[in-house]
Amino acid sequence: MTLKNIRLARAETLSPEIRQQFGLPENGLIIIESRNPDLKENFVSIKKGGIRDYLISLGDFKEVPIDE
Amino acid sequence: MITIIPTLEIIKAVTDTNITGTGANERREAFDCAVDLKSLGDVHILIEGILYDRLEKRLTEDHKIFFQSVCRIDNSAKGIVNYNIQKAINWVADSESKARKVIILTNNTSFYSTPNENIKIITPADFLYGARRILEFTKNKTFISIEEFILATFFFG
Repeated sequence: MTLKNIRLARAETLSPEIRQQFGLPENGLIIIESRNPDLKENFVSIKKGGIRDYLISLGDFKEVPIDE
Repeated sequence: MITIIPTLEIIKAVTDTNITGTGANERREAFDCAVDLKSLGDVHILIEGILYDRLEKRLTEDHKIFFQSVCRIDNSAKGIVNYNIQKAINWVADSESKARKVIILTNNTSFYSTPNENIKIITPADFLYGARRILEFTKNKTFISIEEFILATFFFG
């Protein structure tokens, strides 16, 4: 399943059904992943580790320097 | 109406494999807060194009989808002779400020200029302090518009 797009959402504006289905909290930042070829959505709650932990969950960063 | 521009050290902190410490955590949390604010209102996160090119070398395809979906990559200053990331951010911020209010998020406040009142240069620590207040008040539905609250906190405070 290839990640094709990401949207930002708020848990508080999602339906209770979606929150229940994906085990989401009642409040906070949610990332909606669109994946294909099945064209499915996945909802991910951003917890304490923040965006960095979310990105690492997608794969490790490469050790490349990005200095000026 | 509000554009947040994270600078090199912010992006480095988010994607470095081996940087720890209070400063790095502050920069990562500041980026998190910027994304949080984006999810609440008319807030853009702009990554300057030369910086994005450097960043891209560290990223997997999925990471790239994240940055390309969540952030605006601005290539305006790419390819200009003698333009480094810092000069490019200054130019892009000035141009962006003609359309929107701009926050440059940086530890190196002296590297960046504020040619007009629509640009604010804010450290991660100050940004975190303000953004957390905004997020807390938003949770309590104290303010109608997140944009107004951001303006009140960072531009008219």
